[in-house]
Amino acid sequence: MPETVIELRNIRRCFGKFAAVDDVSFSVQKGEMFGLLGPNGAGKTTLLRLLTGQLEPTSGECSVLNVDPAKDPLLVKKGVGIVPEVESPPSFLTGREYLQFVGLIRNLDDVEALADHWIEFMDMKDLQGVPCKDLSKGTRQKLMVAAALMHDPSVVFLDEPFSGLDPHFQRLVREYLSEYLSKGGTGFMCTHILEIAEKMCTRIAIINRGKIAAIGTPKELERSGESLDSVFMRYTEGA
Amino acid sequence: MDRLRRNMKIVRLMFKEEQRLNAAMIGQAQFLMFPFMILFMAFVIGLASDQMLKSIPMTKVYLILHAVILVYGLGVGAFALFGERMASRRIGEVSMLLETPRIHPVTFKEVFLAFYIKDTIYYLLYSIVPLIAGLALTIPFTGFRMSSVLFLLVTLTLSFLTGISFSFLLSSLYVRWKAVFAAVVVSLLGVAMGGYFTHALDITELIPSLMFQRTHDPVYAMASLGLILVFSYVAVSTLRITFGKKTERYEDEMTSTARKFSFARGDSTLMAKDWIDLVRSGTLGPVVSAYVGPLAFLAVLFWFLGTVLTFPLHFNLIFFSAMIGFFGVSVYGWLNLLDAPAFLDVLPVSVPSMIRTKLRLFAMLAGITSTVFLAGLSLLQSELGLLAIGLVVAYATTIYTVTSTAYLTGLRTNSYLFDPGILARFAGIVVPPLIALTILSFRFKEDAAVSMAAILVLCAILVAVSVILYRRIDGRWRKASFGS
Repeated sequence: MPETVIELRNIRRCFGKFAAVDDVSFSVQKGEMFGLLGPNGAGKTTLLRLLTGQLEPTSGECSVLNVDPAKDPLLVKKGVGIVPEVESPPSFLTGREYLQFVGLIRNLDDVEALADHWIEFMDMKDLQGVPCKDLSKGTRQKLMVAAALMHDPSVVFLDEPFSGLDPHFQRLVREYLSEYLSKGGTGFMCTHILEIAEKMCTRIAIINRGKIAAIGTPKELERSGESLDSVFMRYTEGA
Repeated sequence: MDRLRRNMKIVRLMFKEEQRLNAAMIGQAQFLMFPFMILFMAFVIGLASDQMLKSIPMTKVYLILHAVILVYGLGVGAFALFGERMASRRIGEVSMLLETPRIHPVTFKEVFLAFYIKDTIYYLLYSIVPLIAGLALTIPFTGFRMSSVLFLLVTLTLSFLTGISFSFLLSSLYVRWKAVFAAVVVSLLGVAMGGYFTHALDITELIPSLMFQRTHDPVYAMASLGLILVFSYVAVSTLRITFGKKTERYEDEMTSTARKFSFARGDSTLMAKDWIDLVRSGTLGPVVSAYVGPLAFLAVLFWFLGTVLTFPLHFNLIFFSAMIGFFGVSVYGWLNLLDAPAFLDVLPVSVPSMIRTKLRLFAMLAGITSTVFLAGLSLLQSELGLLAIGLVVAYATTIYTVTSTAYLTGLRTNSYLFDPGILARFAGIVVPPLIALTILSFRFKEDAAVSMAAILVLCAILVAVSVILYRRIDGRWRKASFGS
């Protein structure tokens, strides 16, 4: 019996009269990499923020690791890792200090060694001592990815995680995530890079104007011989 | 001509941006309510002017009004100090038009000039115009002449523009040539002090807008306008803002600093981060100045009123101790501007934890600064005997005012204090005890024992209320987010 890690039931989130997420229901099982695809403004980031306790739903319920993120956002954030849409590490800390900061916030052991490990993994040794405000977009994104993964979370939420990353590091992260999933981790990824979704996701949902337009494995979605690209275009027409 | 039209368009767009930014942060209605509050206050003061003018002559009222507005202009005009920060940093997740020169063919000086013009007009419309409008509304009751009120609008506008442009100029000089800045400040102080002590010069004559008010001579209006234009021109010409000019490297300090702040227990990491921000962003100096500066200004102003204008009032150490708490608000506001905290939204950190961290950091800075300031002032005013009670008052009012501010405004102090609803609650919480302490400080000379007892009781109440508000921070801000 697969273990449900993420569950949404009729979730709706409105901003004024505009429903950014409208009556969304699905679940994600342990070990899955669930991909949420959609055009700009479709509601991907809003949904991710609802699941990680950064926003409260207008109606409906959801749970992550059996915790309602609206009721106990801190408990959810303790158990998960989040790569946000915007790479915005603290301006005046160095990359290494930021990772140490995250380690201390999460009460991890030996944060200095842990930070060193990730700095090496990200090939950032040359940038040691440079404050985050002076790092390139890609390097800041590397830091956000490392900060989300360094505590070996049960679930990782990734909002456009490959944005700004060079191909070398993209591959490194993909490999890391594959290993992470094989060890029982679960992933939830928002993206509009279809190629990445096709390569990495075990199941995919296409969201358009706040509603789930299609959901299934990549094979199920492409069953009539269509490419994922064509499927995406068909479901998001007029977006 | 095309360029002028384009730059005027940029000013208009910046206006919209400012309006929408404020409306997004505090709500459109609240944003528009603020000038109405100033108008109302000016209306009430106007109605009371009849009584006021019986004890203070009109010339001194004009002097005080112009001095206050000039200082207001000086206070908001140091754009060059923050230009780089404003241009290179986003407010939360919001990018500003000031960043345009990074990627578009327009010079930073042009965009910054547009920003300066926008901010100046914004301040005029948001505060000076409502102030005068409030006075104008009292005309049917006070018998003020409309021409006098309009003339006051013109002269106060000139005073404000003089202040803001001079402040802009000084900040530009400071950023570019610190020695020139020091020379200008020392020269001006020399002229002012020399003029005062040798009786060779009335320093108020150095303010053409005030002289225009006094004499109605248009030469002073021209002189005032000339000064404003020269100050602004030189300020923009000398402005130096370089994007990404240098990358500094720092030794790792996170874990060692967190250990130093271990007394803050669960919040020691947040406190260490804020301390590092404070030091590396170069904000420590401005934060201490924001605290001591207004107090020093008050001390000089009261010395001026008492010695030069021979006002029959003495402001003792207890008065300044009470005021210290009030000025703590700006320091707390500064601490909230250190860095955009949106990244904390993805970590197991709550907004109340961050508020408590800011309060602890504030307490540390304020404790040291206020003690040193009051000790120095007690020596200067020969009031060492009042130092102990003064420190009790300073600590109690500081804790009370800043805890109230944190409770009401959370991590967005500077935005929420423009919300008239919050501002009214803030005034309701803070002003009555301040008035009570001010009255008690004046009574101290007549009946020290009773005043002392009353002050101590009041301080105990303030601390008790602070504890209650501190405990309620969790409930009020638990669901707030760090991002925009």
